[in-house]
Amino acid sequence: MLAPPQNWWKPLSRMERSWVIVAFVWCLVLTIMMPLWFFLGRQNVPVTTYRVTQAEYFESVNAFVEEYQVDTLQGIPVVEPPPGSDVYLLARQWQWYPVLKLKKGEEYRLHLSSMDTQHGFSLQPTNLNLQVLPTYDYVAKIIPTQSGEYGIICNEYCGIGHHIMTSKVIVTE
Amino acid sequence: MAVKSMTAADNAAAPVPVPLTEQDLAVADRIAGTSIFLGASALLIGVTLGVMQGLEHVGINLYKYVQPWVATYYHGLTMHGVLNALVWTTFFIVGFFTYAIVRSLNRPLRYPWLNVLGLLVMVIGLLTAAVPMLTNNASVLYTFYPPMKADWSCYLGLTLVVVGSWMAGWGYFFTLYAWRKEHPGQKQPFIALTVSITMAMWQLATLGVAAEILFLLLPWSLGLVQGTDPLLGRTLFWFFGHPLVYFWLLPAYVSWYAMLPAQTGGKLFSEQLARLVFWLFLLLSTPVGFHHQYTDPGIPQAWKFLHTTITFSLAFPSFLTAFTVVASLEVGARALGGKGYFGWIRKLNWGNPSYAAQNLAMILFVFGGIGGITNASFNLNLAVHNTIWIPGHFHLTVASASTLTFFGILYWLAPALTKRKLFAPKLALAQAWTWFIGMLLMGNALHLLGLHFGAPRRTMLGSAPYASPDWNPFLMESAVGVTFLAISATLLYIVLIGTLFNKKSDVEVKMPVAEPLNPSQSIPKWLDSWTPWVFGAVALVLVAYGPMLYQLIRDIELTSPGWRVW
Ligand code: HEM
Ligand SMILES: [Cu+2]
Ligand SMILES: [Cu+2]
Repeated sequence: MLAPPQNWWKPLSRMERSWVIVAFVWCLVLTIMMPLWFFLGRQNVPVTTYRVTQAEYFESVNAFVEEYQVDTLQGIPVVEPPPGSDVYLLARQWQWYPVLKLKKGEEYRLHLSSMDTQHGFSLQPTNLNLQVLPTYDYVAKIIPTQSGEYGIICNEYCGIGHHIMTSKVIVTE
Repeated sequence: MAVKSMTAADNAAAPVPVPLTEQDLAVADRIAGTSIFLGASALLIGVTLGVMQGLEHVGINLYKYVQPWVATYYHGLTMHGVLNALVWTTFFIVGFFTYAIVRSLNRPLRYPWLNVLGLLVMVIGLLTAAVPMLTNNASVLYTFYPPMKADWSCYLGLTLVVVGSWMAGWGYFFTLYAWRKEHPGQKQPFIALTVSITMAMWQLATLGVAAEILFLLLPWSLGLVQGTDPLLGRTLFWFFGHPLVYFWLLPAYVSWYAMLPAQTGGKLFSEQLARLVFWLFLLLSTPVGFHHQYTDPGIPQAWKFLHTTITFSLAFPSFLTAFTVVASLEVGARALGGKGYFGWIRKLNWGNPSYAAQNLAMILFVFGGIGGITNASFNLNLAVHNTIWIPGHFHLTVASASTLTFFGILYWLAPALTKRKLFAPKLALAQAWTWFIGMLLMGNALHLLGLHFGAPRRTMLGSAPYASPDWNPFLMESAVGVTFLAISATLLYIVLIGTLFNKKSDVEVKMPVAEPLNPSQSIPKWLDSWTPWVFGAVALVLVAYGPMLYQLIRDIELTSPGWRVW
């Protein structure tokens, strides 16, 4: 082997170097924003997940409905759980079950899971989106900040009735 | 110039370079032409379905006229995604690369039969997947998330397409390797190197989807196991899904760096940075897939963060690309008399459809890139995940940055392959501009619909009960964009088919190759050697995916039954 020539490469020109630095710093700032927001921001990705069987989850939902049902809306029970409690929502072809009635300013643990394919939980018009998978119970801590009626739609393709899969959350004062 | 000086002994040991004959070129070009022809045919069906989707959103339902060919919106959407994002891209890229690598190395393919076999396997795969797809037996969209279950032949066909593209890649690797043996001590030519890097990245990335199909989906759809694990499936899919977008993009980068400057009188501004960019993409493209799963259950926060960090590291080579490419074009425009801070832009080769298409593609990519950074942001993602913002985003990237660049490439490559003149260059120019305007309008409208109203993606919006009148102005904007796109697609096929039937021309069209601005600039060894980058890429994947995949596989529960609900 030969000894390599001394100057392997010319150092970057001034323009190249400054651009490399700008690009690098920019990426650094973007990256640091992430953990910062995680601690300072008010809305973050939920962290709690349980593995469940579909039958287990179905049982939890039914027990939940039985205990707190207050009304029926187009054949689907309306459920008003006490503040601070566990709230169960089930996605299946092609409905959300049951309809939830929550109190403004109170915290709830919202459980999400599917009975069949994947679904997408999408709250309207606040625009909050979570993926819903069968056999996983995803728990989001939520505090409704405004009263009124919110829509829930499905935004993950789940078959031919995907676009009619809607429901609502009623938030009372 | 050589990285190190050679001795007579070195020279004697090296095999004699194999000359590139007309016959070798004919073989490579036959492969290239066939592959690109198939890709463009798939795209013809794909864009037609795209237009139907756009019109459905404003209440114009064309599906009733195409029964039973396109049974439902979702049947069409599956084919739109598969034909455009998987078939058109892969077939075009393989064709383009085959054409480019032999010219770049000035050497025949090392094993032409391997590249022919690769294409053959891709075609068999395409036909295998086409049967269930056309007959509405696999309307699971192009991401085929379990536990929605397609016909097994669909999974098998898609796997074969990927395996065929692997073989094409192996063909390039052997060819580059042979060239290096014949040219000891010389730096690898830029185009051949970047083509091979792209294909190496693809090998690593596709392991995810190959594993998903072979170990989860095929046994399950064949009835050998009863259920599947949806999260493991998603994770393996996105292991592949993000680098997939770089597989679409890097061929466009090859053209922007190494060809486009030559089409406007420019030179490659900084070859060092350009090479660094491609190596960084090999290193970083794969271990980022969790940024598609931010809102998934079952993946701990720390892993999502790690992937976010690597994702933003990936923004670095993209910023470098913006600098180098713009500088390379500016060199050309100034040489042609361009003046001022921005005045030089007018001197670019706008009259040439091949150039204009690619420059317009770059402009759309700026918006696509900004949107991409938003999507990748851990918390902002909560607001846009699965909304129609996302299709807004990737129609500016894959359907514009890549696809419009590929159209631009076709405007010199089609004449080069067919040895005929480009048919109606003015129409080709109009094609580029209408695509640009159409995507700008549709992209803008879909972004806003997703952000402001949370309008969902993958949804037959025209029939959704919750579609609100507030959406109408944006849906209309999108429909105007779709109209432009329909015109643009029509022009595209007039130009391409016209070229195919144009009379033979003796003017030989050559591949444009941008010379480096500073040819004496030597390339440091670490920017010309494969080992550190390949090992680095594999190591990073092991770190970023290993523990989580281990855990998901350890806890696997094949309990979700399949669903066929379309
Ligand atoms: C005439 C041009 C095109 C039009 C009008 C168009 C229109 C659309 C629309 C409206 C959607 C959203 C459907 C929905 O989410 O419900 C969509 C989805 C999509 N488009 Fe296009 N498109 C065009 C070209 C392309 C091209 C060239 C590509 C790729 C190379 C592409 C790739 C995709 C993909 C991957 C999806 C997502 C499919 C899914 O969610 O499963 N499109 N297109
Ligand atoms: Cu759905
Ligand atoms: Cu991605």
